[in-house]
Amino acid sequence: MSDKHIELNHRTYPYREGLTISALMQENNFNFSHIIVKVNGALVEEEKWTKTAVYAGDNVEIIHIFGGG
Amino acid sequence: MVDCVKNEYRHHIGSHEEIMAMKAKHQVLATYTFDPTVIERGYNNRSLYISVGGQYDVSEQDPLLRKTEGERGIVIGEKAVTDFMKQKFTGGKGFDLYHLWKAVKADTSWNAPENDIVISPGPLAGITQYPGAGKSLVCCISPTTHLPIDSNVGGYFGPFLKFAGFDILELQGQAEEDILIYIDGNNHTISVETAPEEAFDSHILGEQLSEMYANSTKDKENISVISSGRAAEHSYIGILNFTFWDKRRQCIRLKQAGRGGIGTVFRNKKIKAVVIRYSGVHGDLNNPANKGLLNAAGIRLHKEMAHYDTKQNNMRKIGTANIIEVMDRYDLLPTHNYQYGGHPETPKIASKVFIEKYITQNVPDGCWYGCSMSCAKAADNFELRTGPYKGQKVCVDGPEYENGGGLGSNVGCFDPRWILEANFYCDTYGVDTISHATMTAFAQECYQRGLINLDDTEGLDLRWGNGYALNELMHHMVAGDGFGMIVGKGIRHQKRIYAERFGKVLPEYESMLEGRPWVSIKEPVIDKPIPTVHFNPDLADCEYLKAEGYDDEKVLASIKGDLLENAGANNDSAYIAQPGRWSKLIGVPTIGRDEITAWPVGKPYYSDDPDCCYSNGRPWVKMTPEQIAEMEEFGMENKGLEYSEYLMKESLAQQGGYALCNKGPQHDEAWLIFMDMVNNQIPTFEDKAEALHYFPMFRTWFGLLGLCKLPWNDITPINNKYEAEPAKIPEHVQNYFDIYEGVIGEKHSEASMVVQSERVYTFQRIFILRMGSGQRKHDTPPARSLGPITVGEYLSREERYDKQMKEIIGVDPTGKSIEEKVKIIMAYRWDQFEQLVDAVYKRRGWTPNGIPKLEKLIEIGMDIPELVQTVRPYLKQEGYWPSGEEYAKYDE
Amino acid sequence: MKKLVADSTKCTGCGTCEKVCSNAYYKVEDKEKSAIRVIANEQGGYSIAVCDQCGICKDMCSIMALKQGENGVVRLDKKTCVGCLICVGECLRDLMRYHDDLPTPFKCVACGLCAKKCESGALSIVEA
Repeated sequence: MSDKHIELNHRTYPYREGLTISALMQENNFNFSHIIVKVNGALVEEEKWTKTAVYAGDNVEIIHIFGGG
Repeated sequence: MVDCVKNEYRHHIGSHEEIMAMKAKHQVLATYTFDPTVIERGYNNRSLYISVGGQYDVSEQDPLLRKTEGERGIVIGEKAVTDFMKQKFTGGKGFDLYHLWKAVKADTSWNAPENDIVISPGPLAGITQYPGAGKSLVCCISPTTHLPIDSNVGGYFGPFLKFAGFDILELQGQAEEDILIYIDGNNHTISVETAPEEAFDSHILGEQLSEMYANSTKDKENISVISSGRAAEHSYIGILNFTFWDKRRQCIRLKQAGRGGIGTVFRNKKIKAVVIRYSGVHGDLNNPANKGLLNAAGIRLHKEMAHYDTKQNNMRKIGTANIIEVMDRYDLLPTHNYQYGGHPETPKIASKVFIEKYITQNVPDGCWYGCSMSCAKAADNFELRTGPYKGQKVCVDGPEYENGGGLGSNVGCFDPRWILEANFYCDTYGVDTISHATMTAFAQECYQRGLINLDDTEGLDLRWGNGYALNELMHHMVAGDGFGMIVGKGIRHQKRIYAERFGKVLPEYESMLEGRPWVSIKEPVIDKPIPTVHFNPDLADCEYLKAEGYDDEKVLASIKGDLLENAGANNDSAYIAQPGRWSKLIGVPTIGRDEITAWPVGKPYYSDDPDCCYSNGRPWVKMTPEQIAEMEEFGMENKGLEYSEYLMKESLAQQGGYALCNKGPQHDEAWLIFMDMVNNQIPTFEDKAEALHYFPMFRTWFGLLGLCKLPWNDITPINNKYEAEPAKIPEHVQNYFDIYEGVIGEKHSEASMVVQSERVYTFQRIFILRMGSGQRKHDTPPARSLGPITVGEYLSREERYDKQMKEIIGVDPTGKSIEEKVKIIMAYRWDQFEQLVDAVYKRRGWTPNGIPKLEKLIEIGMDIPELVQTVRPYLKQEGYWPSGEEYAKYDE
Repeated sequence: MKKLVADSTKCTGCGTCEKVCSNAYYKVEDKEKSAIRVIANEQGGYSIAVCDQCGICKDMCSIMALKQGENGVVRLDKKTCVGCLICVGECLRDLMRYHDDLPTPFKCVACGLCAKKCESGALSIVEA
């Protein structure tokens, strides 16, 4: 058991070795077509999601852009 | 590019000769000739007023400049659109509410002749360069809420009205027989004529009138028709259909002013249709101040649509229905009357099913010129399986997302054919798909909980997913009798009728029986009752009828009728009604109204009390007070309007977005679910309150200008990800300020836009206050909108709720029963909701009771005597009347 | 299929074609009102942009003001056009043209006037 965490959308989320943006999105069912990802405030382009590692203490924002009919 | 199919139903509208014979039967009752005008920067500066009869005197406060009087009390005239109106109300919905305020009194009922249907396209409406600029806003006093309702609608009518020479059309009075109004925008004439022979249902009537008033087939593109349908006459959820001519399909298309029963008022006035003809549309008719700004902004958005739509929302392929499966994945697709947020069968009604099997593709489907978003999809040659048009192949306008979520998952129908069938009939009969779906889901849940039974529904088995029965219900609405009529009055009326008929009438309901004043049936915030908990999976098999003491097997068998094919239901027991079976029960001993109160709970009784208007000798099982209270918890309405089709119970901000709506719970004020629940971008009450200020104001602004919301954020610029506030889509907001400046000639900014909207928004709040609502207690939502109220709902998200209880509320869920846990979660959520309301009222400049403060009215320039007079007693009572000398002049 | 084709390697950048085009249709010599466009390359030389009559523009026209004739040329019926400019946004190469002074957009109709005046022989009409 690790007690390390990240922040995911301003909520505490368990960290584990090898965590990536894509893995986070998959685990949380974040599969909307129009998402902006920021790690510690910096934009991560879509093509880098699979390769971008997330580290303990990171502040990850996975922002869904949609405003309803 | 596909070759567009010709829809086969067209031969049902009649030949040209038959249609011209119908026209020959018209008796002209009034005619009017008006002077041509030139639109200056978006405004004609005059409005058209028509009273369709009934000896109604035009309000002295809102005088006519010139007028003509026809037969039967018909008046046609013009009013000025003044600088005062433009400064304070801007246009569109603002103008509508201004005239409506003048037309009605505090106790005006929806069916009074002075109720005023006001239609206004807004100063930007009619430009062709920017997508989504053809909207009309429609207001009147609603039959379901008894408050001003506003609804926006596409189609060509609004722009044509403006090009004909009017910023506003007002329809007042009441005709003696069915009439139609014809506005000739090129010859500058108006006539009011009887219309005895044309059809009532919109898909036929729109075609007939387009044929009748067009000079040629090509000329049909210059005709737009407003009509309703037969169900609008008997239900309270009538819509207005606005047509546009689809040149490729060679048929009319229907766009709907859906919410709040405007079509019911239209038919109550005995207006069959309003027809307009205008030939000569081009992009400069608004005489814009700076056309270059319009062109540049328009092309920017056209290019985004051309390049990015397929990667983003697929609006061109499937329109708003693209989000059916998205909502399901995010637990937001309302299912079984908002109990759940998704269903394993959703893939059956996912957007790709409609794309692959039903929707005609690659056709420009804009509901006004210049809409490159083109979301107005249609299913061509769809064969109907029920009703008067059974077997015919028709063009179904849709499905919109709301059809999938409402007529699909919320009523448990995971069959695209039933969704399209109900979609078609809702439109042509003239009923609101959203209210219809939500109130049918309510009746279904009442039925499956045993609050009403198969007797009450006249043999319609309303279990989830019974598509036949649900469509049959709609056909009953057209016939104007039976259970369909009761459902068609909406949830608030259903609750009253069920309670009145089945149980002890609560004092709150008593005051509602008179119709006015429209008192909230909910008590204000303090001492919120903890919801009762229900979970009975066996209810679905009609056993409750026996359990409730009604065990006549023979009657049940006769009620159930024949088993039918039922693709939508998840079991094999779907039955439809057998009309006329009630005659068997005549002669059964009955009791009177007085005896109902003393009647034992659970024992069937029979009533032929003439005061009990819905009884008619049928047996009733008495409802307990607890059961009546239950209906308050899961009846998804607020202010009398049914909720629209998004599951809001895991987003506090959206709970407020719905319940704090001026007109009732429609998401056109705010849709914050992703920002709040998923992105967690607005964690504090103040953050949520800010969002519940900015977004309602921004979205109100669309309604003032005549714009559609969809091109704002259903496509996003490629650079949006670099913006500080991406949810606002800042580049598109700037586009709007550009086209505002392009037409009106004045620079605009976020601050000036917000104030422009605040004026009308605050006015509307004071308007609903004047009409007997608009206080805090009226903003109270049904319990289900806040969270799980049943064991089943709790279990569906047990992990999430347990976690919330442990981590946020600080209570250990271990060892607690589900019933206990529901109580804990719900008590917490009621408290959260009340804190949200406090924060939002504060941000909007209102008192804790939801009354706009005098200081706010002064700040936004709305310290108009009539408004001050309306809020003054409430402010004084609450202790919020300001004391300074500068306020003394308002206290007269 | 009739269309104008350009060989940019022969272009001298004289701008005659733009002048001829705008003069023929709008009675001015203004390259902003020309359907054919000559663009100076950064690395020297010129690119000529001409419509190849692909027809994408016509598919999104809701009032069907754009029609492709039997000879393949896509023409705009100015009387029918309502000036929405969707076609301008649809054209991937910005060859459905518009000008703020004009009520409707415009495009190359392969009339060949520019080709006749082009002294370098960069332009020609082909019919295949």
